[in-house]
Amino acid sequence: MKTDETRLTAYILGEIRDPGNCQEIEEALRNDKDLRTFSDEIRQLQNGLTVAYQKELGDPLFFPAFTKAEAQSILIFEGHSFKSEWMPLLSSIAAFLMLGACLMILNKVVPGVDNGATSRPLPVGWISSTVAETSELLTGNWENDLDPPRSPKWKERSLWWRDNGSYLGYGMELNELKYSESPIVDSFSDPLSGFPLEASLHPFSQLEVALNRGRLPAPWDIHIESLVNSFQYEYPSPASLEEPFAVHLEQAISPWMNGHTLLRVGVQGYEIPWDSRVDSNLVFLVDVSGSMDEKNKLPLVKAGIQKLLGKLRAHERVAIVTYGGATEVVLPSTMVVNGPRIERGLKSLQPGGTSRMQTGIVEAYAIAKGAFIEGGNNRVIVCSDGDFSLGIPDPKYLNRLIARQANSGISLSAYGFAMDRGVSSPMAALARMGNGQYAYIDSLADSDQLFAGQVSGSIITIARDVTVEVDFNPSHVDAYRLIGYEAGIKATLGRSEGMPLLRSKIQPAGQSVTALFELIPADVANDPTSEGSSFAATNADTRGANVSDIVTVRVYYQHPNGSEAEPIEVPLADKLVPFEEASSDFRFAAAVAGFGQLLRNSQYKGDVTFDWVLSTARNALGHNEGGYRSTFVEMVEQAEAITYFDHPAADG
Amino acid sequence: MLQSPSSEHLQWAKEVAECHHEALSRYAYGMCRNRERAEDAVQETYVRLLKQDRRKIESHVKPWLLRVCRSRILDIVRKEGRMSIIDSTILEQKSSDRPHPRQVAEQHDLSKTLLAYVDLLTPAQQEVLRLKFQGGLSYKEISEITGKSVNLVGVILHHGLKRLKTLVSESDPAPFSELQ
Repeated sequence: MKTDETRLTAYILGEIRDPGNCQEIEEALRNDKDLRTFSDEIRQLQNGLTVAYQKELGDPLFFPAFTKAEAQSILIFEGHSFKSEWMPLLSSIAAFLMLGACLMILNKVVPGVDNGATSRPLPVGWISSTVAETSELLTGNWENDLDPPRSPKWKERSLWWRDNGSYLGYGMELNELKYSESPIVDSFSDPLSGFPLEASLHPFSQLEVALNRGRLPAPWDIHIESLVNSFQYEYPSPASLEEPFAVHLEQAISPWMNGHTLLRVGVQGYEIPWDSRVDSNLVFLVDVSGSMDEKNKLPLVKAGIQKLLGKLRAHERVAIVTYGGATEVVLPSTMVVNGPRIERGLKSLQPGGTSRMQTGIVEAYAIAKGAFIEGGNNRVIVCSDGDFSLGIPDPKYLNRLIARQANSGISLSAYGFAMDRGVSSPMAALARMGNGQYAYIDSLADSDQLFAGQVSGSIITIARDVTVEVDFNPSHVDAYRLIGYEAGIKATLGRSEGMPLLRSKIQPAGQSVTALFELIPADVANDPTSEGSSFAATNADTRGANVSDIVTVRVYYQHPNGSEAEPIEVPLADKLVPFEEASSDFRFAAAVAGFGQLLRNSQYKGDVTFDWVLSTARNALGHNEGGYRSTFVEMVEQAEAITYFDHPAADG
Repeated sequence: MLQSPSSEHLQWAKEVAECHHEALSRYAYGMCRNRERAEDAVQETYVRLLKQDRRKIESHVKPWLLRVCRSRILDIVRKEGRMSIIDSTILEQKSSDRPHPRQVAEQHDLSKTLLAYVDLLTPAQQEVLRLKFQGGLSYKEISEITGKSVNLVGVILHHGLKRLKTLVSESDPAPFSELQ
């Protein structure tokens, strides 16, 4: 056999052990000078590479050992971002001390915590002054290293542990565990329900970030309605603005509770065709402070703007103002046709400095005013990773400024890039004041969709004072439960309250919302005499309803000019299909809701398991636009693994 | 359904993790050049280790760990792939992680220079070199991890080394004596 170089490489690297083969190669080496030279060089590279790889990383990443208690702590360590060289060692020491401290506290400091009788219970994982040094070390570490670290309230927070030693969450009071859930409502006494037409995508992104880092969010941070509405469902848009909403209803047998059914209510707002949108005059006010120097911040802003440019008309205008170390107009208001100039402006966006945006916003409004398009979409778009009102000496001035400009036709939208949820609400409030939109962005898909939304016409109001009313027929539905909407929304709208209160003041175009109801069907036909329901035999109002319908959804709204419109009314006949035969959108939404109920450990979760969620979601990926649904499947897998360590026996 | 790991299994997993942690961490870091992502991948690998039936992997635990870690890293990369357009920015950042070999050479650090040249190889060559010289794995083990045949691993490794040799020689006429 000829000794070629490939074979010789294998020999040098110890892959050829057969004595006969080795002998053959060694003989070839003795006889062939070129082979010897080659062999020497490969050996030298071998040595060099071994050393180089050894030196490449410096200190190895360190991870605590796998005792049972330490296995719990993995969840916390998974949340770490090991940013400094010394942190791995310190973290492992911290974990060890933390576990010791917890055990100590569990045994001695808070003996009564198990019975839950303490009116204001001490956090179980609180590091008391008796271990002050440990506390300092630990809180310092967690503050610096656990995500999310940028919340202003972060320093007030601490790690919490369950009484079995497992991780609970950030800075939560134990009594917060008693979070509420939307109740089951008797449809005879309370036949009317409803839901708002707004759902934030923010919790989905937060959940994704948390799971990627190996943590489960606290149950009360799971907003099922937001999770469900984080995904796109195929609701055909209404044909014209004459009837600005389309209602889509679907019912199937409940996959998690025997004898119950699930109802999906989808409301789709009219989508304004891209071509018929008005011209835009956009001013991006971009935070270029040092903290924006992360791949899902400033690069996303740039990429988002770049993608948007491709969609704008040549005569539409874009400007970029930065705030950071100093306010700078990196791109005066420029027509899209001047591509290279805009490119240069985008390229010059570099992070550095600290955020102070007062002069920036004034400059941005000045530019927007200078290029004002009468009847057009004039808008300042703030892109930041923090509360952009920070550093403003007089917040009231900012409020007044934004409101005044909104009245004069320049609106303001705000986007938080990969930021901590704790600081989102002031930004959202300012965006509301500026007649604009607030959203959280941590992927290009988000920025693409949301930036495009700023010019697509979605800012055009298609209706005002919109209310969705879901009217259950007590003769078919004994009781119902609105899934999600636990936080601050009253799920039921009893007859005593008259008109439903879940009102959206302004309804932008193109938006849709999905709500899921769990229904308990009536065993036998009841006497439909519930007051308030259009199904009531005694209620002789104008809202007639067919007694064979199980539910009627009505959308009340005003035209954009403020005049009252005829409500849109869509009934659903008592048609029930097995869950497996429901549409993929329906099954996917149910899987998402089931997942949310699992994470909340909802009392209504019924037979939902991670396995069920996974198999249902996998079989209902549908068109899977943007890969979001696949991401969901990955999230469920991650959550399952994390839960497994949190409650090793619970899911077995 | 997941079963609660026994204390014996946990102890075993702990020992495995301790034994291979450094190799795994270095491998993960080398693959994604990001400490945070590497840590995530390594930890997800341990999570899988705890769920895994010991009997099935005991005989080849190191390649198994590296294979799982590799697939986690690929998942992470794929996830980032969803940000398609922005990737040009990310890739720019990645490629600029390590300066050009000539710049590195000026620092007179041979190891860094060598790794800077490794960066110029194909991804497959880089990976196989790393598994061989960092992980100390055999062709067969590398084959199990990468899903490539043993012969192909040998060929990739050989061509990688040969190309590296050429790159180093072209830049410096007498480099090999210093690599000893």
